[in-house]
Amino acid sequence: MYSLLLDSSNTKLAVGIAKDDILLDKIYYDAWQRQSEFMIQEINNILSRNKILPSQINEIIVTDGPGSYTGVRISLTIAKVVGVLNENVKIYLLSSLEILKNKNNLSICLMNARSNRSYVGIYKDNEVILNDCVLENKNIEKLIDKYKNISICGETEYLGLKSCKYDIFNNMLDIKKHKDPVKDVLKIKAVYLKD
Amino acid sequence: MQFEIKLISNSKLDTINLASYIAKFLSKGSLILLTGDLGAGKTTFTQGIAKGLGISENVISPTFNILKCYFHDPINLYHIDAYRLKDQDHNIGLEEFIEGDGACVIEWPIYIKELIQPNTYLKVNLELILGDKRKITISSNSLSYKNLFEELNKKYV
Repeated sequence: MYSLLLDSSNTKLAVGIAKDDILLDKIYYDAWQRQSEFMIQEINNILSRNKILPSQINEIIVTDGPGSYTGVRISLTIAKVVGVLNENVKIYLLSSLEILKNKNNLSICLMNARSNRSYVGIYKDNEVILNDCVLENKNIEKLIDKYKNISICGETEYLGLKSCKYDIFNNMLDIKKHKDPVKDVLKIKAVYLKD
Repeated sequence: MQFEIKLISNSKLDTINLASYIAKFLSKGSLILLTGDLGAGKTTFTQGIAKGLGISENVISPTFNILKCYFHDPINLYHIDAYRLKDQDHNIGLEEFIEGDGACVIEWPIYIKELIQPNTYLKVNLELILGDKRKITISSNSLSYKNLFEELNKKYV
Protein backbone atom coordinates (compact mmCIF):
# COMPACT_ATOMS: atom_id res chain seq x y z
CA MET A 1 0.00 0.00 0.00
CA TYR A 2 1.49 3.30 -1.07
CA SER A 3 0.79 6.56 0.76
CA LEU A 4 1.60 10.04 -0.47
CA LEU A 5 2.29 12.56 2.31
CA LEU A 6 1.79 16.28 1.66
CA ASP A 7 2.21 19.42 3.74
CA SER A 8 2.59 23.04 2.64
CA SER A 9 0.89 24.74 5.57
CA ASN A 10 3.85 26.90 6.56
CA THR A 11 7.25 27.74 5.13
CA LYS A 12 8.19 24.28 3.96
CA LEU A 13 7.28 22.15 1.01
CA ALA A 14 6.92 18.58 2.26
CA VAL A 15 6.32 15.55 0.07
CA GLY A 16 6.76 11.99 1.35
CA ILE A 17 6.13 8.52 0.03
CA ALA A 18 5.49 5.52 2.26
CA LYS A 19 4.98 1.84 1.62
CA ASP A 20 2.86 -0.08 4.13
CA ASP A 21 3.19 2.81 6.57
CA ILE A 22 6.97 2.91 6.38
CA LEU A 23 8.54 6.06 5.01
CA LEU A 24 10.50 5.36 1.81
CA ASP A 25 11.55 8.80 0.73
CA LYS A 26 10.96 12.48 1.43
CA ILE A 27 11.42 15.92 -0.03
CA TYR A 28 11.50 18.78 2.47
CA TYR A 29 12.70 22.32 1.90
CA ASP A 30 11.95 25.96 2.36
CA ALA A 31 9.49 27.26 -0.22
CA TRP A 32 7.59 30.04 1.55
CA GLN A 33 4.72 31.19 -0.69
CA ARG A 34 6.16 29.17 -3.57
CA GLN A 35 4.82 25.69 -2.89
CA SER A 36 2.36 26.15 -5.77
CA GLU A 37 5.29 26.45 -8.16
CA PHE A 38 7.05 23.26 -7.13
CA MET A 39 4.71 20.80 -5.44
CA ILE A 40 3.39 18.88 -8.44
CA GLN A 41 6.89 18.61 -9.85
CA GLU A 42 8.21 17.27 -6.55
CA ILE A 43 5.42 14.70 -6.32
CA ASN A 44 6.42 13.52 -9.79
CA ASN A 45 10.09 13.48 -8.75
CA ILE A 46 9.53 11.41 -5.63
CA LEU A 47 7.37 8.90 -7.47
CA SER A 48 9.67 8.48 -10.44
CA ARG A 49 12.85 8.17 -8.40
CA ASN A 50 11.20 5.42 -6.35
CA LYS A 51 9.80 3.81 -9.49
CA ILE A 52 6.20 4.20 -8.34
CA LEU A 53 3.41 5.09 -10.74
CA PRO A 54 0.86 7.75 -9.72
CA SER A 55 -1.84 5.09 -10.22
CA GLN A 56 -0.25 3.00 -7.47
CA ILE A 57 -1.00 5.61 -4.79
CA ASN A 58 -3.65 4.16 -2.47
CA GLU A 59 -3.94 7.06 -0.06
CA ILE A 60 -2.95 10.66 0.50
CA ILE A 61 -2.12 11.93 3.99
CA VAL A 62 -2.41 15.71 3.95
CA THR A 63 -2.64 18.58 6.42
CA ASP A 64 -5.70 20.81 6.23
CA GLY A 65 -4.53 23.65 8.48
CA PRO A 66 -4.14 25.89 10.30
CA GLY A 67 -1.42 27.92 8.63
CA SER A 68 -0.72 29.98 5.56
CA TYR A 69 -3.93 30.89 3.72
CA THR A 70 -2.55 29.86 0.34
CA GLY A 71 -0.07 27.29 1.63
CA VAL A 72 -2.71 25.09 3.24
CA ARG A 73 -4.76 25.13 0.07
CA ILE A 74 -1.96 23.95 -2.21
CA SER A 75 -1.63 20.46 -0.71
CA LEU A 76 -5.31 20.25 0.08
CA THR A 77 -6.33 21.05 -3.49
CA ILE A 78 -4.03 18.40 -4.90
CA ALA A 79 -5.43 15.81 -2.49
CA LYS A 80 -9.01 16.87 -3.07
CA VAL A 81 -8.74 16.70 -6.86
CA VAL A 82 -7.16 13.24 -6.73
CA GLY A 83 -9.76 12.08 -4.22
CA VAL A 84 -12.65 13.37 -6.32
CA LEU A 85 -11.35 11.92 -9.59
CA ASN A 86 -10.38 8.56 -8.09
CA GLU A 87 -12.67 7.36 -5.31
CA ASN A 88 -10.30 4.46 -4.61
CA VAL A 89 -7.70 6.82 -3.20
CA LYS A 90 -8.32 7.45 0.51
CA ILE A 91 -7.68 10.91 1.89
CA TYR A 92 -6.60 11.48 5.49
CA LEU A 93 -6.76 15.01 6.92
CA LEU A 94 -4.33 15.91 9.68
CA SER A 95 -3.78 19.01 11.76
CA SER A 96 -0.70 20.87 10.55
CA LEU A 97 0.06 21.66 14.21
CA GLU A 98 -0.20 18.07 15.42
CA ILE A 99 2.38 16.89 12.87
CA LEU A 100 4.95 19.09 14.62
CA LYS A 101 4.67 17.31 17.96
CA ASN A 102 7.45 15.60 19.86
CA LYS A 103 6.03 12.10 19.89
CA ASN A 104 7.24 11.06 23.31
CA ASN A 105 6.34 14.15 25.25
CA LEU A 106 3.65 16.67 26.02
CA SER A 107 4.02 19.16 23.18
CA ILE A 108 2.85 22.68 22.47
CA CYS A 109 2.78 23.13 18.69
CA LEU A 110 2.99 26.69 17.40
CA MET A 111 2.79 28.65 14.15
CA ASN A 112 2.88 32.38 13.48
CA ALA A 113 -0.62 33.72 12.89
CA ARG A 114 0.57 37.35 12.53
CA SER A 115 -0.73 40.38 14.46
CA ASN A 116 0.94 39.10 17.64
CA ARG A 117 -1.01 35.88 17.57
CA SER A 118 -0.19 32.24 17.09
CA TYR A 119 -1.90 29.08 16.00
CA VAL A 120 -1.58 26.75 19.01
CA GLY A 121 -2.36 23.13 19.73
CA ILE A 122 -1.26 21.01 22.70
CA TYR A 123 -0.82 17.26 22.27
CA LYS A 124 0.27 14.36 24.43
CA ASP A 125 0.73 10.98 22.71
CA ASN A 126 -2.50 10.61 20.77
CA GLU A 127 -4.54 12.90 22.98
CA VAL A 128 -5.48 16.47 22.21
CA ILE A 129 -4.94 18.58 25.34
CA LEU A 130 -5.76 21.89 23.64
CA ASN A 131 -7.59 21.93 20.33
CA ASP A 132 -5.97 23.98 17.56
CA CYS A 133 -6.86 27.61 18.14
CA VAL A 134 -5.58 31.18 17.76
CA LEU A 135 -4.06 32.77 20.86
CA GLU A 136 -2.44 36.12 21.62
CA ASN A 137 1.33 35.73 21.85
CA LYS A 138 1.38 37.43 25.25
CA ASN A 139 -0.61 34.50 26.68
CA ILE A 140 1.66 31.81 25.31
CA GLU A 141 4.48 32.16 27.86
CA LYS A 142 1.92 31.69 30.62
CA LEU A 143 0.57 28.61 28.87
CA ILE A 144 4.04 27.11 28.55
CA ASP A 145 4.81 27.81 32.23
CA LYS A 146 1.59 26.10 33.25
CA TYR A 147 2.89 22.71 32.05
CA LYS A 148 6.13 21.24 33.39
CA ASN A 149 8.59 19.91 30.86
CA ILE A 150 6.50 20.68 27.77
CA SER A 151 8.17 20.41 24.37
CA ILE A 152 7.98 23.52 22.20
CA CYS A 153 7.45 22.52 18.57
CA GLY A 154 7.34 24.51 15.37
CA GLU A 155 9.10 27.39 13.63
CA THR A 156 9.13 29.38 16.85
CA GLU A 157 11.91 31.93 16.19
CA TYR A 158 9.27 34.66 15.84
CA LEU A 159 8.45 34.11 19.52
CA GLY A 160 12.09 34.04 20.52
CA LEU A 161 11.68 30.40 21.51
CA LYS A 162 13.81 27.43 20.57
CA SER A 163 11.95 24.47 19.14
CA CYS A 164 12.59 20.82 19.74
CA LYS A 165 13.28 18.63 16.74
CA TYR A 166 10.25 17.17 15.00
CA ASP A 167 9.75 14.63 12.25
CA ILE A 168 6.62 15.52 10.35
CA PHE A 169 6.68 12.52 8.01
CA ASN A 170 6.78 9.84 10.71
CA ASN A 171 4.34 11.86 12.77
CA MET A 172 1.93 11.91 9.82
CA LEU A 173 2.18 8.12 9.43
CA ASP A 174 1.58 7.62 13.17
CA ILE A 175 -1.32 10.03 13.45
CA LYS A 176 -3.03 8.55 10.42
CA LYS A 177 -3.32 5.21 12.21
CA HIS A 178 -5.81 6.79 14.61
CA LYS A 179 -7.86 8.53 11.97
CA ASP A 180 -10.59 7.60 9.56
CA PRO A 181 -10.32 8.58 5.93
CA VAL A 182 -12.57 11.36 4.66
CA LYS A 183 -16.03 10.10 3.74
CA ASP A 184 -17.05 12.96 1.49
CA VAL A 185 -14.04 14.30 -0.38
CA LEU A 186 -16.09 17.12 -1.90
CA LYS A 187 -16.60 18.56 1.57
CA ILE A 188 -12.86 18.92 2.27
CA LYS A 189 -12.17 22.50 3.38
CA ALA A 190 -9.16 24.35 4.73
CA VAL A 191 -9.14 24.89 8.48
CA TYR A 192 -8.69 28.64 8.74
CA LEU A 193 -9.09 29.44 12.43
CA LYS A 194 -9.13 33.21 11.87
CA ASP A 195 -12.64 33.26 10.42
CA MET B 1 2.75 61.11 11.94
CA GLN B 2 6.28 61.30 13.26
CA PHE B 3 7.85 62.62 10.05
CA GLU B 4 6.72 64.30 6.88
CA ILE B 5 8.36 65.72 3.78
CA LYS B 6 6.89 67.18 0.57
CA LEU B 7 8.74 66.89 -2.73
CA ILE B 8 8.11 67.68 -6.39
CA SER B 9 8.66 65.16 -9.14
CA ASN B 10 8.90 66.59 -12.66
CA SER B 11 8.81 63.29 -14.49
CA LYS B 12 8.26 59.57 -14.31
CA LEU B 13 12.03 59.18 -14.07
CA ASP B 14 12.15 61.55 -11.07
CA THR B 15 9.54 59.40 -9.33
CA ILE B 16 11.44 56.21 -10.10
CA ASN B 17 14.72 57.67 -8.87
CA LEU B 18 13.15 58.92 -5.66
CA ALA B 19 11.56 55.53 -4.97
CA SER B 20 14.79 53.76 -5.83
CA TYR B 21 16.61 55.93 -3.29
CA ILE B 22 14.00 55.21 -0.61
CA ALA B 23 14.31 51.46 -1.32
CA LYS B 24 17.83 51.54 0.17
CA PHE B 25 16.26 52.30 3.56
CA LEU B 26 13.90 49.33 3.46
CA SER B 27 14.33 45.98 5.15
CA LYS B 28 12.42 42.76 5.74
CA GLY B 29 9.02 43.67 7.10
CA SER B 30 8.98 47.21 5.68
CA LEU B 31 5.52 48.40 4.78
CA ILE B 32 4.81 51.20 2.30
CA LEU B 33 1.34 52.58 1.74
CA LEU B 34 0.76 54.34 -1.57
CA THR B 35 -2.12 56.72 -2.01
CA GLY B 36 -3.15 58.90 -4.92
CA ASP B 37 -5.61 59.01 -7.77
CA LEU B 38 -5.62 56.81 -10.85
CA GLY B 39 -2.59 57.74 -12.90
CA ALA B 40 -0.85 59.58 -10.08
CA GLY B 41 2.14 57.24 -10.28
CA LYS B 42 1.67 54.60 -7.60
CA THR B 43 2.83 51.76 -9.81
CA THR B 44 5.62 53.92 -11.23
CA PHE B 45 6.78 54.55 -7.67
CA THR B 46 6.69 50.80 -7.05
CA GLN B 47 8.82 50.25 -10.14
CA GLY B 48 11.36 52.54 -8.51
CA ILE B 49 11.23 50.53 -5.29
CA ALA B 50 11.83 47.34 -7.26
CA LYS B 51 14.76 48.94 -9.04
CA GLY B 52 16.26 50.05 -5.74
CA LEU B 53 15.91 46.53 -4.34
CA GLY B 54 17.73 45.10 -7.34
CA ILE B 55 14.69 43.43 -8.87
CA SER B 56 14.94 43.29 -12.65
CA GLU B 57 11.47 41.81 -13.23
CA ASN B 58 8.96 44.18 -14.77
CA VAL B 59 6.58 45.56 -12.15
CA ILE B 60 3.03 45.97 -13.37
CA SER B 61 -0.15 47.06 -11.65
CA PRO B 62 -1.64 44.25 -9.54
CA THR B 63 -5.16 45.62 -9.81
CA PHE B 64 -6.49 42.32 -11.15
CA ASN B 65 -4.10 39.95 -9.36
CA ILE B 66 -4.49 41.77 -6.03
CA LEU B 67 -1.03 40.51 -5.07
CA LYS B 68 2.17 40.06 -7.02
CA CYS B 69 5.32 38.59 -5.48
CA TYR B 70 8.83 39.40 -6.66
CA PHE B 71 11.15 36.89 -5.00
CA HIS B 72 14.63 38.28 -4.65
CA ASP B 73 17.58 38.16 -2.28
CA PRO B 74 17.89 39.64 0.24
CA ILE B 75 14.50 41.36 0.25
CA ASN B 76 11.40 40.07 -1.55
CA LEU B 77 8.94 42.63 -2.85
CA TYR B 78 5.23 42.06 -2.31
CA HIS B 79 2.98 44.42 -4.26
CA ILE B 80 -0.66 44.58 -3.21
CA ASP B 81 -3.46 46.52 -4.87
CA ALA B 82 -6.48 46.44 -2.57
CA TYR B 83 -8.77 48.26 -5.01
CA ARG B 84 -10.77 45.11 -5.83
CA LEU B 85 -11.11 44.24 -2.14
CA LYS B 86 -13.45 47.13 -1.40
CA ASP B 87 -16.57 45.59 0.17
CA GLN B 88 -15.09 42.10 -0.29
CA ASP B 89 -13.87 39.46 2.14
CA HIS B 90 -10.41 40.56 3.27
CA ASN B 91 -9.60 37.20 4.82
CA ILE B 92 -7.30 35.96 2.09
CA GLY B 93 -3.99 35.73 3.91
CA LEU B 94 -2.59 39.16 2.99
CA GLU B 95 -1.24 39.62 6.52
CA GLU B 96 1.41 37.00 5.67
CA PHE B 97 2.86 39.58 3.26
CA ILE B 98 2.07 42.73 5.23
CA GLU B 99 3.83 41.22 8.22
CA GLY B 100 6.18 39.20 6.12
CA ASP B 101 9.74 38.53 5.10
CA GLY B 102 9.99 41.25 2.52
CA ALA B 103 9.09 44.81 1.63
CA CYS B 104 5.37 45.20 1.09
CA VAL B 105 3.88 47.99 -1.02
CA ILE B 106 0.13 48.54 -0.83
CA GLU B 107 -1.94 50.62 -3.27
CA TRP B 108 -5.41 51.64 -2.06
CA PRO B 109 -4.59 50.70 1.58
CA ILE B 110 -7.88 52.22 2.72
CA TYR B 111 -9.73 49.13 1.53
CA ILE B 112 -7.77 46.84 3.87
CA LYS B 113 -7.06 49.28 6.69
CA GLU B 114 -7.83 46.79 9.47
CA LEU B 115 -5.04 44.54 8.15
CA ILE B 116 -2.61 47.45 8.21
CA GLN B 117 -3.50 49.15 11.50
CA PRO B 118 -1.17 47.45 13.99
CA ASN B 119 1.90 48.04 11.84
CA THR B 120 4.40 50.85 11.38
CA TYR B 121 4.78 52.10 7.84
CA LEU B 122 6.00 54.63 5.34
CA LYS B 123 3.18 56.49 3.60
CA VAL B 124 3.62 58.00 0.15
CA ASN B 125 0.93 60.19 -1.36
CA LEU B 126 1.20 61.15 -5.02
CA GLU B 127 -0.76 64.13 -6.28
CA LEU B 128 -1.11 65.22 -9.91
CA ILE B 129 -0.15 68.85 -10.40
CA LEU B 130 0.14 69.42 -14.12
CA GLY B 131 1.22 67.13 -16.95
CA ASP B 132 4.02 64.94 -15.65
CA LYS B 133 4.51 66.96 -12.47
CA ARG B 134 3.61 65.37 -9.14
CA LYS B 135 3.61 66.51 -5.53
CA ILE B 136 4.87 63.63 -3.41
CA THR B 137 4.24 63.66 0.33
CA ILE B 138 6.19 61.12 2.31
CA SER B 139 5.35 60.48 5.94
CA SER B 140 5.79 57.85 8.60
CA ASN B 141 4.33 56.83 11.93
CA SER B 142 7.61 55.21 12.89
CA LEU B 143 10.82 56.54 14.37
CA SER B 144 12.70 53.79 12.53
CA TYR B 145 12.59 55.95 9.40
CA LYS B 146 14.32 58.94 11.07
CA ASN B 147 17.45 58.38 9.00
CA LEU B 148 15.50 58.29 5.73
CA PHE B 149 13.83 61.62 6.42
CA GLU B 150 17.10 63.27 7.43
CA GLU B 151 18.69 62.08 4.19
CA LEU B 152 15.68 63.11 2.07
CA ASN B 153 15.84 66.59 3.59
CA LYS B 154 19.54 66.85 2.78
CA LYS B 155 19.18 65.49 -0.74
CA TYR B 156 15.97 67.11 -1.98
CA VAL B 157 15.15 70.17 0.09
